[in-house]
Amino acid sequence: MDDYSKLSNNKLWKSLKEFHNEDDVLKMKHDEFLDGVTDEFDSSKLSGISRRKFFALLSASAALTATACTNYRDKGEIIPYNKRPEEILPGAANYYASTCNGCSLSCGILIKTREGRPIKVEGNPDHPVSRGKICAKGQASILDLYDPERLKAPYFNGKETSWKNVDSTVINILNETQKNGKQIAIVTDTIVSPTAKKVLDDFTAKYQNTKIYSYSLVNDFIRRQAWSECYGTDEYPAVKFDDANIILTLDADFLGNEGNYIENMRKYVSKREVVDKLNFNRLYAAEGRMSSTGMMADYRLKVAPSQQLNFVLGIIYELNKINPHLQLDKSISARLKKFSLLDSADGEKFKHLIKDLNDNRGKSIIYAGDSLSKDVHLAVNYLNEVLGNTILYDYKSSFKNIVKHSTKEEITSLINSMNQGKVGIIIHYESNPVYTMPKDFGYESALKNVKTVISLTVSENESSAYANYTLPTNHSFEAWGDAYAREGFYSLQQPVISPIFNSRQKESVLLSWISANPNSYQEDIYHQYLMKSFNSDVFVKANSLADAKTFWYSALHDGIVRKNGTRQITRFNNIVLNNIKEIIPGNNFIVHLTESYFVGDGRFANNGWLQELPHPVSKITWDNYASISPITAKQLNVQMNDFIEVSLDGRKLVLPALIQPGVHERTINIELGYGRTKAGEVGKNVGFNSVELMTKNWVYSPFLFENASIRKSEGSHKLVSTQEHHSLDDTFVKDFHYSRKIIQEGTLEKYIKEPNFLNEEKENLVSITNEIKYTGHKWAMAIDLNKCTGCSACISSCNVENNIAVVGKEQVERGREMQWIRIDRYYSGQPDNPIVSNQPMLCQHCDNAPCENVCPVNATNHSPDGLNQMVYNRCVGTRYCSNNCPYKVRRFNFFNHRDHFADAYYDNDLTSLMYNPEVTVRSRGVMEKCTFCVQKIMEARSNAIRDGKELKGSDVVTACQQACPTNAITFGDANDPASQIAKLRKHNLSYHVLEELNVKPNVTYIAKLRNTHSEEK
Amino acid sequence: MENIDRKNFFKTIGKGALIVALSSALPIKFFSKAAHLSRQSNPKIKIHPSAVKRNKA
Amino acid sequence: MKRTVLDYALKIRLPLTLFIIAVSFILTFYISRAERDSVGYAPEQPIKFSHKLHAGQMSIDCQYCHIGVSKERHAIIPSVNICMNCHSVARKDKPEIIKLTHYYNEGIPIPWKRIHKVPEYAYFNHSVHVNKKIDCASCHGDLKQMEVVNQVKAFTMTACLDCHRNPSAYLPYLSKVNLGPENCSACHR
Repeated sequence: MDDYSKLSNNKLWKSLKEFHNEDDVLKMKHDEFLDGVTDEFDSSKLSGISRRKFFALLSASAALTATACTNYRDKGEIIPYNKRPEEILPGAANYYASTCNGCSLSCGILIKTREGRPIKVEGNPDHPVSRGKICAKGQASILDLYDPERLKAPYFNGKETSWKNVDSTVINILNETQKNGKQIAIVTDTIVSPTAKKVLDDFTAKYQNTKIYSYSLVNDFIRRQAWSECYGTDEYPAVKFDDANIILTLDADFLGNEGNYIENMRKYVSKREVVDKLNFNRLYAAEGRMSSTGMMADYRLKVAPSQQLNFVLGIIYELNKINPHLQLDKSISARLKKFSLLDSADGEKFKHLIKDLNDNRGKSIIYAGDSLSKDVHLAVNYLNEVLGNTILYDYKSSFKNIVKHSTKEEITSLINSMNQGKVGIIIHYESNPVYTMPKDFGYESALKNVKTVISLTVSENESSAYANYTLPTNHSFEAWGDAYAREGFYSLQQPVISPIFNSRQKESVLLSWISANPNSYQEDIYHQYLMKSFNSDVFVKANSLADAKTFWYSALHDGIVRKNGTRQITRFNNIVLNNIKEIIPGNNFIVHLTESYFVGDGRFANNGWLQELPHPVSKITWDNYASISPITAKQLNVQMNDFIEVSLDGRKLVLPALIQPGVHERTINIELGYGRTKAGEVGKNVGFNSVELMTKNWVYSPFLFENASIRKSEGSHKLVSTQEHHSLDDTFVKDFHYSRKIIQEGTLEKYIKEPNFLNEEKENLVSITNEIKYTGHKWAMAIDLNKCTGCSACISSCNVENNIAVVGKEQVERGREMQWIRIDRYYSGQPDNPIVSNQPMLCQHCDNAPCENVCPVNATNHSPDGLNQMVYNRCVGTRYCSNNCPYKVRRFNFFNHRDHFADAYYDNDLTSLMYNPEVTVRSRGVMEKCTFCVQKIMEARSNAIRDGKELKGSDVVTACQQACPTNAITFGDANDPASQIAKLRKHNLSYHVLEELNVKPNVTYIAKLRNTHSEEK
Repeated sequence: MENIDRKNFFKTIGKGALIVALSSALPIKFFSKAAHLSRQSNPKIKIHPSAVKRNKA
Repeated sequence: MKRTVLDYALKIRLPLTLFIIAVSFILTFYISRAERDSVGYAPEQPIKFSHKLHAGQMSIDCQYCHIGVSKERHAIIPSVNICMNCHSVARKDKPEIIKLTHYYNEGIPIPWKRIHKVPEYAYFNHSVHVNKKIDCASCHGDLKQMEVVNQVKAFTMTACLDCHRNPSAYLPYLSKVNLGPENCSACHR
């Protein structure tokens, strides 16, 4: 017992070392850890947060997150109108008739609006000339209304100001200028509106020192001059191409970009019928460049633009030889040159041409292009007279000339006055002369000598950069107007939307300046003026039973008012034949400048859709270039994309070369409308400014220049094309479109002899899977390749209807353009004068679609009415479907293009208003493709159910079908035996592309027949 | 030593991930000049009171 | 006995994982169900409009106010001027009507809380259904009894397809009714 009590006082030891109280044991007792273990421990490096604090933070953030997820069921608000405007039913579209202002042709349009916003432009079927069709530019012009860079307020010297200030200041300046005896100059583009002319006349009456100058980059000035000399009037008639059996065009792209090409296309294809009846004309195209018309021609002859006069004289000579009875004027007989193509490669064609022209006297037409010299026009007019083709002139629909273009002398005198300080104020009346006038006019530098420069414009441009006052004008959809472009009817323009920004109509601006009272402006000042003018000019003469107001409203409703107009047909003035001056053809190159197909004279430069539309011939986007022939390229050792320098009398332009098969060896074709420096983020610095090659002292025409020299320059510029350039010499790919039966063609002769020639080699395809029977509707499309000119109105219309994104040049280079329909262009034959075939390609909605089988998430499948459906919200972006598609018509959204293109240029509140609410706006990662306008099919079905009718295939009109000026596209219900589409599918010229794959496509193509003199092409 | 290194390494990665996550959520668009256009407020849309609607098919 | 990795994995990790998965799935399913099919959602509206009074007691036809329902895709919530057709005079002194008149006079559109919403990637078409004589109550419930509108039917794709595939079961008052479309592009386009 005693031992234990002693124990409690005893020291406890754990080891012998401890018992002996050795030093290191004592030290060890101090330290919790052995030596070395805590060497790296640094208490200052510990984190400041204690365990407690960490847990507190964790739970607090969790709680906060939970509170953020409140009211997950909230679906937002649904907000109706306060006072619903009577004409708007939200969800239903309204249509308004108006006139397009895209160019001076003034086609009639119907603007489709939803909830007050314009979302689509279509043609006005009541318009006697365009008859319900408009061009690609008109379709895409809606993007300009919603351009985020539109001017929103008036600017004075770069600072925003108010209209009140502008009005009062400008009225003072006008009065002062008038008092000082200085000139008031108004520079305008082509004016087709008689009421706008009235406003200008009123302005001139009020400020008597006013002079109006009308200048347009692309114009028909020479044609009018020639017509005036020949017939005494500068209002030339329309040509009844639909009555012509033989058409010869001389550098005239009448199917693509000249005259009213919409009307021309319609008339031309009325004689390219294969379906209901066989009715064919024959088109000869004599041109230096390769144009849309050249692509369509049955016979294409290579004639340089400067050789055209000799060509025409040669035709007259040869005609005289085979038909001595032709009444030739003595003055011309004396000058006939034997310019014969009989010995050239085109000799056979020339012989056919002469014979055809002779056989079809009075049923043929020779048509010269706007850019050829006056002498050619005089000679052509004479030739048509001699052949009796003048009965094809339709004076009842002649091209009016409301305000004549200013002559070179008038403009030069303006520039001189400007330089001498005699011009007090210049008003750019929605024109851009700094860009469009040739540099040697010196307009740009002369502007600096004008005290006040005013630019009335929708968006900033090169001319407004020099303006003291930059004043925003209404877009054409916000503006009133009228047009008297053609004899026989007036076309009216009405606004469908109130001006979105603080802009005014240009005519209203002038009217308020005429009234000289800055407080007099009312928003409908021009509306009232127009109504008054309409009443006095049109209503009074119309002898209508209605009163003036009703007549006006019905005119606005229709968009058109017919008027009686007769023109006295005058006789040809033979004296002009003495005026024909010959061009001495040089040995050097000829530069031919032409208007851009889609950008126009540059006004659409900031329109992404139009910049991205592939050129009909070269399929180049976002650029212009110099088209040269393969021979020239070899001579200069120039390859595609290499820079070349084109020089003409001291004017130079360096731009990339495009080797274009079919171009005449000495011709260089460059498009105008590019190289703009101030056109908004999208349009600036796109392409190369070919106006630099123009001069005010042109000899033959403003657009044709002889004696140009070109040489290879340094560097290159990647031209981006949506179609690969297969070398015509590469035997592996040569004519693959024929061998693979993608394009099947024939000649008229062969078809007449053997109507079934296309089906001789048709294989009998056996399917290994069960065929699905389609009862009910089966949607199908047919495209008549005889009628497709490659105008791309279908592509433009599809872009607008389906909210297609603009992707930009870089992405197009990678093949990522988003257009759902494309027009493939194939060359065959020889590179110096190839045969060209066009084929619109879109989703074929195959019955045995190879894309449907491979989608891992079943995002694409087939509907019971024959459509290949694309469900965007299921798509995960595997892209296997696009991989499998033999036609490569599926487009993948590699980016959210609204966000991606040009720093989200189109991703803003304004441009978002343009979307078609019936079509999904796709984001990144989903596949899209043509849907056969399923939204239109559904709408038609809904309307049929509402009206208690059966849905007919013809009730559905797809966007591309609606837009096609030649009605090449037919759409409908293949199961309806009475429908046009059923007939087309059974036609003996019908075929499917890549039929042997047995995917059973539902787009039928009608083979193109060329009207040559043989069975071979 | 090695534990501290490992800790530091993961700390760095964590900091980096945090920066990336926060910066991707930053409203850069507000400060970028090029995106000025996107930021414009909703324009007022009003149908034109004098427009005449078309009733034909 | 020695514990192997597999042992540990199978006996402890696997059941634990499965349990967690099952619990989270069941929890999420039931908790999110209200959000997914929104049945019973009855938010408070800026003006206490009563369908029971207007559509039930006063027997105003649905299409008097919801004008688009037989013409086009959307049913259209009525604009304030339709209300004022009667309420410029009727019950002018009641507080809700005073609120309504204020909205009308100031030109402010009424921000109704949306209850029935089919997601925007599905393009629902009212007129097709109404013109086939389907009654409003078949989808929206007996509105004539509702003081505050609430959603009675699930607006999931399953619910739509159930009726499309077997319409006679859901629409007994129709003598002849075709099957509704089952293909994707009928709604998803």
